[in-house]
Amino acid sequence: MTTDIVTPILAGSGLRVTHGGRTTLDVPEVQLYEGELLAVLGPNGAGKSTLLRVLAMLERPEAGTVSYRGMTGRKAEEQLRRSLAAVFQRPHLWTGTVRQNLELGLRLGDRRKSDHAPEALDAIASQMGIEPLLSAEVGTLSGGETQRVAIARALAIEPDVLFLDEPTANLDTGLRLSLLEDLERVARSRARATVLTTHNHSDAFRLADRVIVLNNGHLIQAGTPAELYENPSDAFVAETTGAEMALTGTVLERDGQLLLVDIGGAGLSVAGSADVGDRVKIAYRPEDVFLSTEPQGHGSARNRLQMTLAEIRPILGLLRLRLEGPAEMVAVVTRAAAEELELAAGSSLYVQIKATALHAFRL
Amino acid sequence: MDAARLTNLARRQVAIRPALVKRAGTARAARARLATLVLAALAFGVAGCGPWSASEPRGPELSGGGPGVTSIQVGTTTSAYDSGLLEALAPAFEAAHPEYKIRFFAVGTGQALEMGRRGDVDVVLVHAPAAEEAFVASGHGLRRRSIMQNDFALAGPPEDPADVRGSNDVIAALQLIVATGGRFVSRGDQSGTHARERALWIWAGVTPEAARYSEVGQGMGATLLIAGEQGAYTLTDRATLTVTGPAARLEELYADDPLLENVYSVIEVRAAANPAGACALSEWLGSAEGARLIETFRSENGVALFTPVADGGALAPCATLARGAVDAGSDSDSDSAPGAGSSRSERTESRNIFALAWDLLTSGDGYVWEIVLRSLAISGVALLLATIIGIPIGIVVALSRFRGHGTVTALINTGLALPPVVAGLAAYLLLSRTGPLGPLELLYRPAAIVLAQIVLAGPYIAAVTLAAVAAVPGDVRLQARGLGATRLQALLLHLREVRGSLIAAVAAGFGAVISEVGAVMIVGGNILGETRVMTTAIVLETRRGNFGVAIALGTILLAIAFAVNIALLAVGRRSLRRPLIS
Repeated sequence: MTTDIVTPILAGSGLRVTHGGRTTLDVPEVQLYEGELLAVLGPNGAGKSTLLRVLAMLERPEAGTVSYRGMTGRKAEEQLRRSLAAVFQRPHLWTGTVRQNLELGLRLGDRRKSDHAPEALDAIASQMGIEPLLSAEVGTLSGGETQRVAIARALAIEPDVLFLDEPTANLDTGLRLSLLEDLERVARSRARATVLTTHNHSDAFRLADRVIVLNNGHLIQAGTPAELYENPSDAFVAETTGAEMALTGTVLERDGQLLLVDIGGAGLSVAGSADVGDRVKIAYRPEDVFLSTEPQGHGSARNRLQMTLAEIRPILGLLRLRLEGPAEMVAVVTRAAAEELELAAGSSLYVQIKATALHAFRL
Repeated sequence: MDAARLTNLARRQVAIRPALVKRAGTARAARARLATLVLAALAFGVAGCGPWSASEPRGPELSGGGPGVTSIQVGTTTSAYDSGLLEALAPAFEAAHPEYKIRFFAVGTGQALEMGRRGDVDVVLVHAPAAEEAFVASGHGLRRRSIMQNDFALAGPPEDPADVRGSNDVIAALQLIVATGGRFVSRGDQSGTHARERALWIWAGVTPEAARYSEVGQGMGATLLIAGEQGAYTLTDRATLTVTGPAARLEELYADDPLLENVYSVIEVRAAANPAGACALSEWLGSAEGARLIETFRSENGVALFTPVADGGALAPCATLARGAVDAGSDSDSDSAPGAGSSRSERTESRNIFALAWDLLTSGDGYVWEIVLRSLAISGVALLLATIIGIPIGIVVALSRFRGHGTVTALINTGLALPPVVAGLAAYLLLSRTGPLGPLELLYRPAAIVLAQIVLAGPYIAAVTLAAVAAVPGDVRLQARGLGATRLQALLLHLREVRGSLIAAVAAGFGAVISEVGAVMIVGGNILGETRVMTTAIVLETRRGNFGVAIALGTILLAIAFAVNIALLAVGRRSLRRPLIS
């Protein structure tokens, strides 16, 4: 990466915000680079929206500075105000039609309406799929339509930095997925860089170039989706990024980064750094669990366990299996795989999982 | 001094209220005496008044009265009522006639006679000989009995700039006032006092210069206060002058003239619902007992106010009198009150009044339209200023957080509960000659009304603005900022979202100022051609008995309020199409 020599568009350092004595934000360092989509991931109340407002210079932190293209202070605020666009969690559309909202957005600040051709407005409307709504009164829109209009209104500005606060939080699954698709296409072409907050790791992983994970206002981990997925720095990140956390055991042996952990009488090889005798919690992703009906399956997985299929539940086009054995585990398989294995509740299965797909965290 | 004036003025504004309280007390006392006095009372009452039983159909029974007790409705001039005499006489009459309860309506001569025409009262007690004669001549009144007199007096500032103290008669005194350019304040309400004043000017053969002559269209007490403020002369009955003169800084300057004789008469109404009661009251007032009580009555400061007139013997007995409704055709034109229809049919009556109102509206009646235009000008200026002050205050309080914020909000909302009369009194005390703003000489001028209306409408507009602006979540401004809006643009967008409520605030403010009467009466004085606005004119015309004019003005007021609301709505819609951001 060449990020070391490129000036970030936005950079925050030593950011701290407290509310009534409670720290709501404590982020030592955060950068946003040209062309990048940065996701801020964390549960509700983690400080995501606060970080977003601080980075957008709409809220001053109690400590720390935010710089915009190398500028700080009033000058940076003034410059960023001219070139940002933000969409907040409960978007507010101004009374009037959708078209009036898009036009009004283009007229705010020092922008001149004449800078924007009406065709540009129609283009963003069609990109965001709201063209048929242009002459509708905003009061008649559904929640999903409102969110789309709010995002289109922001993108119409063609901002230097786009801020999206939980853009999919209030949408049901179908609307969420279609909005994600459009965002994936449009955001990068309309905005030089984007900061997006979400509590949904799959949204973050799908859209973002980099993800930072917040908990209780603290920055826990920053990295690419792959880094977070493969190497969560702690149990919180693992859980936040979708890992199963139900396995616990005791470390029996240690060999560098490889541990042998006793789980309900069975031994599992697990990646992680803990000492012999430590109690650990083991994170794994259900999609990393391989199943076979033969005791001697092929593959490089170190761990093999015999387990009983207790329950099958369909989830999002896949099947989620609950397995019972030395411990309880979860696996996800496609319908096709399930048919091939002739899965049924009560059938006996051999479970394989690589040691590097299991992450041990000290309890 | 100011406290005394305030008390006096307040008493006048709510004259009917203490009266009701006192009446309740009297009713209780009368009930207690009922049992012991019943025999004697029956002897008096029935002997005096012939064959009618007390079971005539009657309107609302007094709750204090026992079975068979009927009420006698008395329409009376304010001067007789305000002196306290009638309240002193009532218990004595009711003791003598336990089958009756008296209810007074202190409304002024014009309205009392009009109520008599309509059969809403059984007896009228007034002091306007010419109008009384016309009332009887047209068949609306039966027996007219003069019961007492005092005299009118010419009152003026103690300095007496026209030097009327040395006059030989009242005619010369009035001529002196005109000759020296003295100011004169007239009741202007077609009361008995006003009628006498007009007659005196005719006899004097002079006409005061319009700029030196104010018609206030108010009761005697308020008229005295206005004359006092303006250092003007006025014609008053001596009873009211005795009570209110000191507070008004007015002195009796001339009284000793037969032309100033002030005779009060009681007239039984032909259309009375309780003719027996009317007869009994008339007989009693003319009796030796009535005369004795009138003679011995003293004002609160111990002054004798009335002299009884012996005039009872020549009247026909009640039993021989015609009763019932008056034929529509028999009404004479002697009454000056427009709309004084004589029919007992409510429908015809109402139609006549509304027809007259319509005529006034469509004929471009100068008196009506002059008042309408003045009302619009005064209330328009007041509304504009109240809006300019109230909306920014509402916005600032809604959007800022500071120590004492809750208190300020509560204060603004308390302003909504400010009784207009209290606002008027406060403005009066500020603007009065002895008040802190006295030197500005704004009292009884349109500016004073504007000031009072700002005090009334300002809190309204500020409170509605505050509530509306505060109800919009702060997200709205954050969202605007998040799209690059400057702080001002963000605020304007916020206001754009509540413009409907802001318009409602202005509309509510307009309603508050255009319909207000109490404060406007106090600080404006209802002076003809200067401060008479729609509401005060409505009060005056109602008291004069000119119900048609009152209804016409009321209709115009409502039509204006409607038009203003429509216009404000249109402004709101246009502001939607043309956003605040250019």
